[in-house]
Amino acid sequence: MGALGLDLWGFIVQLIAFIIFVWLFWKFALGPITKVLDERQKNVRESLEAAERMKAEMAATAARNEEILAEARQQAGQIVAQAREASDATLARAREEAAKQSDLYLERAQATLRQETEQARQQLRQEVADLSVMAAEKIVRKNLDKAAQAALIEEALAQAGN
Amino acid sequence: MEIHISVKPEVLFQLGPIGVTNSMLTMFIMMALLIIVFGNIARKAKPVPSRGQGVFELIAEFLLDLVENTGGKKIGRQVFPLVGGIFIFIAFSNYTGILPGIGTIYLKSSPEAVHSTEGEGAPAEGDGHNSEATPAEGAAFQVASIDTTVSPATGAFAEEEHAEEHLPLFRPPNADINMTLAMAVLTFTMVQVAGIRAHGVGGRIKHLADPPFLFPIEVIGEFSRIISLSARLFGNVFAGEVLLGVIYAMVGAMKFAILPLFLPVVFIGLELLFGTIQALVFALLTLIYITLASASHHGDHDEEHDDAHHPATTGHATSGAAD
Repeated sequence: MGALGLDLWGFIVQLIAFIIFVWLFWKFALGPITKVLDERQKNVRESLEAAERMKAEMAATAARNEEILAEARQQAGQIVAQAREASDATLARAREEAAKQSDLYLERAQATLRQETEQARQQLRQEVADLSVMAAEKIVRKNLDKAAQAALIEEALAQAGN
Repeated sequence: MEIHISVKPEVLFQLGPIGVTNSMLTMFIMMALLIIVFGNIARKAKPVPSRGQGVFELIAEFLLDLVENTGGKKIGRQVFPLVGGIFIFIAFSNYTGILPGIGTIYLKSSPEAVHSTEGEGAPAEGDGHNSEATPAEGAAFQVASIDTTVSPATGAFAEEEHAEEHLPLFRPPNADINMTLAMAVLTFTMVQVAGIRAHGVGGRIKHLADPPFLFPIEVIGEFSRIISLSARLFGNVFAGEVLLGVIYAMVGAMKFAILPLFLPVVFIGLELLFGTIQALVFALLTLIYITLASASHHGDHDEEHDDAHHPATTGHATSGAAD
């Protein structure tokens, strides 16, 4: 053993020195660096997770936007279609109404015309009869010659014509 | 240049009962440097790292991944201070071996000290070195003399008789069996503590005595880890020192060529690699021993008997054994 230089005191001193070295080195050098490494690892992991979360959130927002947009588009289309339908209906109804109204007016006018014509014809007939009676009376009363007779009829007719 | 490599660390001066060795001195300087430099980086740590912080974070993250993948989230975090401290201390201590000045700055000791010249037969004359009574008087610094006395023709190292003993001022801490043994004993203790904390004393013994007749072998196996851990690290670092010393001496002997100037570079690179590998092996084995000791009884039964079955251990254990 002596040939190798084994020495009890040397061994003890170096053992204690080494234990103290390991302790000090951990306390002042290796420990703090390990903490820094761990912290960095934690930071990186957290940042990555946050980024991942952000990405997911963004995707969700985009999807929601798309959805809302689609819905709005659909609603707009619906509204336009409804409006068109309503206007069409209104137009049709108005047209129908107008047609009906005009028909009604026309019918009424025609009825009035017919009535008046009938009335006029009746009146005319009456008057012609009256006139004929009047003319016959005159002829009978005066007894006039043929020429005077003719002139009288003529006159009566002219009167009737007015 | 004589190759001055001693298997045991040289005592620089006596402090009470404690002989302060050159490896101890280097160890204290290294520990202080590590705590100051890395502590300073950690103190100024910001969420957005500076360059120094980036380097430290690289090491810390590598170790953190290692312990969490091997020991699981809970046990891994608990052993992380020990495993991280072991890895960083061993790795940076091993790098001191390749620094210029470590092993080549000498203290001139008293002339009456027993001189020993260590050359190729280093292990043989470990006892010839008198360790207890070489207090460095008037610690005069002297850079190693470059008077190489190696005969280029034969490549044999002439043993020069110097009147005075040269004591290297610095020595890689892990080229000292006391240092590696201290760390191995600490690891062993922590393994037992972890085992007892996870299963209780009875549970720990039952863990080892399963089947009962293997209990003595398991106990021997536990204790043998102290020797295997310490001897592996010591052997590698010490051999690296010897290798570099020999290479430098050889390069010094080749006086005329340019190429030898670049030869040590290869070995310095290798030593850098070995230093890291040995640190990783020691830290990983510590981690695995603790993980196995504190693991639940079910499922890891086989792994407790034979580490080689563990998928994570096999590669590193064999690479460690190969060095």
